[in-house]
Amino acid sequence: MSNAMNSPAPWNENEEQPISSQISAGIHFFILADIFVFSGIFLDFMLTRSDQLETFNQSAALLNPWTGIINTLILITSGLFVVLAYNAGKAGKVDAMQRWIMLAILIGAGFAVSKSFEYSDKLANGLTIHSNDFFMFYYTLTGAHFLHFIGGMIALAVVLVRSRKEGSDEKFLGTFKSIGLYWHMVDFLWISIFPLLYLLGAS
Amino acid sequence: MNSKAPVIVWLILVAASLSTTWIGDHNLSFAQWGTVIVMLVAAIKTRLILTYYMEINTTPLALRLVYDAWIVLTTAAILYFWFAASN
Repeated sequence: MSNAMNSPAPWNENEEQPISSQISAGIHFFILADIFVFSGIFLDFMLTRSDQLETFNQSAALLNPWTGIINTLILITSGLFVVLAYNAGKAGKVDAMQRWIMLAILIGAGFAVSKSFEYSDKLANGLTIHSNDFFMFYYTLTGAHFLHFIGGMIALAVVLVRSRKEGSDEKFLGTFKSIGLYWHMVDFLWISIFPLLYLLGAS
Repeated sequence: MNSKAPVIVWLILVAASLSTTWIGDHNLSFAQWGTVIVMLVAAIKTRLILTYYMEINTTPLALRLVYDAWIVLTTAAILYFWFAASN
């Protein structure tokens, strides 16, 4: 018992670690595994780009960086709302927590709208996954990211529904914290994907 | 954590996103270095999200180091291949 109290390890029975932190610990391993897989695709993109510089630069120029930046702004704003929701939950303000979660979902939905406009514009111009290697990466990276986004939106909706019953219960906050961490990963992955596809070499 | 820091970080993230997009979009004469700025700012933005939104500073050092390694290795590799392809 005394060993457990003195141990510097983070996720033991230490009283200073709230249950919510213990519950959310596992999600970090999932996030790390996921982002390293994305890094692998980033490197594959850069390697392929080295062999087809002209094609990649000309293709990148066909993307509108201002469309990409709208998506960035949507995700960082939705991420902020999730932080504010969690802080409200921790303070026991259940109504405020639910309001912020709803706003996070509402703003987040803008990403889906913006992405559908972008995809339909590309497809209308004949730019598909088969057009060239750049667009293969474009659809793979943005598509994989979009699936993560959909997963996050569903998870946030589940959190909102559960919050009606569970309020600011410690266990619920642990689950919410995990979902929040995942949502922030969706956010910062886009922060890397965006310059890679939309800005690098676009001229 | 209070809610003031995340809001200030949000303002920084918005300002950084808009300015780096402007740099990227205008393909300035220092485009080569413009890319370095854009990628470094992306790395800093990621670390801000990890620190202030995900509060990784409250997690064990080993975990923080793996996140930092991911940021540094990914950014360094992208910039390495960027310069390798340009020369």
